[in-house]
Parts: sequence; C-alpha cells; structure tokens
Amino acid sequence: MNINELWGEAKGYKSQLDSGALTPAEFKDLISSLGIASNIKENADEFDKNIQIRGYLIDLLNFAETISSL
Amino acid sequence: MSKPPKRDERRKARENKRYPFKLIPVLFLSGCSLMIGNYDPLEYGLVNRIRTEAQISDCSKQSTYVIYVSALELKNYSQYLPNNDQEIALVDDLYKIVDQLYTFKSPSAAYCKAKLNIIETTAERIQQTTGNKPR
Repeated sequence: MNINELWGEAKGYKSQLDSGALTPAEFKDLISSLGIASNIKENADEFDKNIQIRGYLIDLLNFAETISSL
Repeated sequence: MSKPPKRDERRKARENKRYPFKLIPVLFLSGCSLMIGNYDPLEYGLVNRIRTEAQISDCSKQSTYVIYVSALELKNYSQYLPNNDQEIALVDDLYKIVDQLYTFKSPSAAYCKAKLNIIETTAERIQQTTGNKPR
C-alpha cells in the first residue's frame, strides 16, 4: 500500500466515523492497522517525500487516540 | 646456476598470487545469497491461503476464526526459518491485524470489511516479498 492509497483508506474511515458506521474504537483500530500494514516507521523515507500527507496521517492517528479514550 | 623463468611461468606465478583476491567477490556474493534465504513454497502457500480466506470471508465469527487459525499457523511456521527476519516481521504484523479482528467484540460490518481489506493487502505484500526470493 503506497502513501496515496493509505491516505485514501484513512479518509474513507474518517467519513465512516462521521456517518456513524464506525465506532471510535473501531476507527482507532483501523488507523492503527493501517500503520502496521504500511510500516509507517520503517518507511519513513517514503513518507518524508510527502510531508503534508505524513502530517495529516499523524494528526489522524492522534485524533483516533483522543476520541477512543473519551 | 638456474635459468631465469620464462615469460609464461612468470605470468602463471603472478596469476597465482592474485588468485585469493579473485575469490573475494565470489565468497561475498555467495555469503549474501545465504543471508537472504530461499523461497519456501509452504510459507508462500500459507500466506496465499490467508489472502484468499480474507477475500471470501462473510465476516461471520466462524470465517474470522478460520483466518485466525491460518495466521497463527503461518506465524508458527515462519518463526524459526533461517535467514527469514524480514518475513518474520511481516508475518507478525499480519498476525496482529488478524488477531485484532478475531478478538474484537461485536464488530460492525463496516469495520469487518475494512479489516479484511487490510488483511488482504498485507498478505499480498508478503507474497510479493516471499515470491521474489531465489529458488
């Protein structure tokens, strides 16, 4: 999964969260799985090429952490 | 008094001196191939099974259990294969994702579908890695 596909998936999950199809816990789990699936840390170089998407994704991961702890 | 060596003999003597250095690239390359490890058809087959099960799963508890068993089998199988560090890490990641789906309490249809899609994509990525190993 390249970074654009990853971002597309993450945006899809966010829409499903907003519509109520996903619970916050499910959303967090899926975002975390995307991180595992794409080896975010290991592929830091690829992410550095697109710093904006990387920033959005980190924001989304933080958002997932926050809402699932509410 | 001995005769001076002929030209051919001098050339052979020079080549013999160089012989150990000629071996260095050969030894280096053979060492590298040993580090990668060979293609394992059983490992590839187990990954393929997980990918296929994720494609046909109907999100029932029974079908997620089937994927979980396959992922555990793959994890156990790959664990002690020599020179297989990269695949072991990928397989561990795949197992974690499958375990999360299997143990999630009352998953919604949207969650299950998304999770199965991630499992399928991750399995395909592992297939690309294991399928490219030397045979």
